[in-house]
Amino acid sequence: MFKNFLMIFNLARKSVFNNWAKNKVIIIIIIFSIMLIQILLSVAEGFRGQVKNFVLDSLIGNLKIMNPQYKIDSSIKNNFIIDDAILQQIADIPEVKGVTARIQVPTVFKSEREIRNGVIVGINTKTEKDLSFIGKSFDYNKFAETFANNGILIGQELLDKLETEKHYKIVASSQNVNDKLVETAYFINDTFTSTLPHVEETFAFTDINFVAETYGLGKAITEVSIVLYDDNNLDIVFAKVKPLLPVGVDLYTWGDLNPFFKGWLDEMYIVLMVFFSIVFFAATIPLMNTILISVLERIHEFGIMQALGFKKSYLFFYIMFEAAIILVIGITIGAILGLLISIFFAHVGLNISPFAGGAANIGLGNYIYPKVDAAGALKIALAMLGLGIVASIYPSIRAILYNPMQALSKRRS
Amino acid sequence: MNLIEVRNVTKIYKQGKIENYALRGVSLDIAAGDFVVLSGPSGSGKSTLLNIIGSLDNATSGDVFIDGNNISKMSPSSLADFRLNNMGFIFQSYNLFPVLTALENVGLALELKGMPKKEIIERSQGALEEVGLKDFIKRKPNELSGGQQQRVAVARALVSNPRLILGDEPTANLDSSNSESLIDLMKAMQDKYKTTVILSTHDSMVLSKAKRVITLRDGQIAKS
Repeated sequence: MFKNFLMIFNLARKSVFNNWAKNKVIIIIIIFSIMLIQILLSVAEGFRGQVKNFVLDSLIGNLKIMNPQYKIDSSIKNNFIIDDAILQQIADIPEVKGVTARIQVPTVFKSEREIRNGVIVGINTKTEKDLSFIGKSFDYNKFAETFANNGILIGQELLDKLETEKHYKIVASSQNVNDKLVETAYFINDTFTSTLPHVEETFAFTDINFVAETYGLGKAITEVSIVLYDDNNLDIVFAKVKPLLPVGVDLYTWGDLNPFFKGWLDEMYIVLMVFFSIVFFAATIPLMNTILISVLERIHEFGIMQALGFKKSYLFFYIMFEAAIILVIGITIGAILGLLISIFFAHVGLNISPFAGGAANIGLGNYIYPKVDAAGALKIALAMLGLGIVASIYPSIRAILYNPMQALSKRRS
Repeated sequence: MNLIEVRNVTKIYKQGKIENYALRGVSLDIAAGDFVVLSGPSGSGKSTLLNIIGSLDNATSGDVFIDGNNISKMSPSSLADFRLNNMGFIFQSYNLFPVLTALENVGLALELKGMPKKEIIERSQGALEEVGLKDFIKRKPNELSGGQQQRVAVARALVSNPRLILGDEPTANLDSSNSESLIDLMKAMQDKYKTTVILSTHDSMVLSKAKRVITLRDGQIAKS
């Protein structure tokens, strides 16, 4: 039995290559379909990843503890106090990468020449490290020096808008915890850059204790950001953290705080799935059609095979093997090309500067870096193979509908 | 001893409500080792009878016994096995696989039988040598002349030592020289292997070389 299947497979292999002129068209269609899907998937994954990282990195984290009122009115009077012991308990959860407390103060920055709205963020330099974009991108060892003596770290874009320079003084006007206006002078000790223009022109960082003291918060803070190793564990950690929180404080996911991004990413996923389905079917229908035409043209040949002693089941597998060989060739070449192109663009980035104005607002710089997903590529390849095999069943059944005489009486193509 | 017994076989082709009788109650016996030619004008039913004996087509009624087995009652799968083990076919248009070499075409039935590869090659080469195509074994059908292709078909039919070889107008596409050479070859093979051969033809040269001629007319045996 196995020997017969091997013989049928070899016959199918020879048939595929002997009819290369016909088969190459469908192989090219499969190659382009798989390649297109692979590239689009990696671009989409890279895009989604960048947007998500933007959300996670831009001081939100995966989860955030806040006074529920702060969500409505981001004034420092909507603060809260949380025990260090609770923060430590959260930090000890295995899925948690880090926990950091912050105070965000809406501020008007004034230089000698310009006035700009922004936010002063009081950070704990010890716990901020490696969590948010500032903790990752700014030299950790320089925080203490930068924040000393009313020092502040501001975005390069904000510096430019204020038309001032490093080591100059700026004044920050903010309301304190008692709704009274406080004007504080800061020295611009350093600047940071970000791929995200709006981050660069909004935020200024200094020490959390200085901010608490300056704006009368005492031990109160406005937020605790929780960063996970893997966002897929969000629900697990949420369930573990929620019971630890004191009354009057609530826990929010990044999706709760950014419903626009969350909805947008979810919709994007659906759109991608619909698009991939269309591409899959667009490739499968010509495949089925080509195999069917090939079958109908060779009914006479199948008659000879039956006359020689081939059973109908052998004929069925003969067609299926032909389709499988075509699919495997097309899918393999398409997947390799798709992966190579994705790897190339993952390295150099895909320049979207013509559309980057809007992209910056959704967390992208001028480049999208496709994310190469080998497991995803394998799933696509298997899905295409499966779909192709299913599409080959009908032509294979058509091949065995005729008895030997009926088949032999069909004109040879 | 009879190898083939055809009993009251009728074949009706239906075209809508119209019934065309291709065979009308044909009965005949063919002895083992015989060289029989079915003749008759076009539409007389000779190809239909040949195809029914070869189990390529079904009779509307009646029975065909080959070596005591009623092939009219067999399932398609059993018939495929029966053809594989007992019959060889030679067609008017050669019907070789274009994707296979002469050697592979000849060896195909042996592969289906599950024979070891070495034996398949030896037997196929031997068969091709016997039909005078020793030097053409690696050629594909489109690299062979019509006469050579039909010799490959003969080698393919003979290679598994079938009890019965059926040829439907095997010389129809060949010139007279190739036709005569082919029939001489088949006769020689039939003498050597004691295979029963049934050919359908209206080629007078073939008729002249037959041991027995069965003439059909309007779906009935006119002369046997």
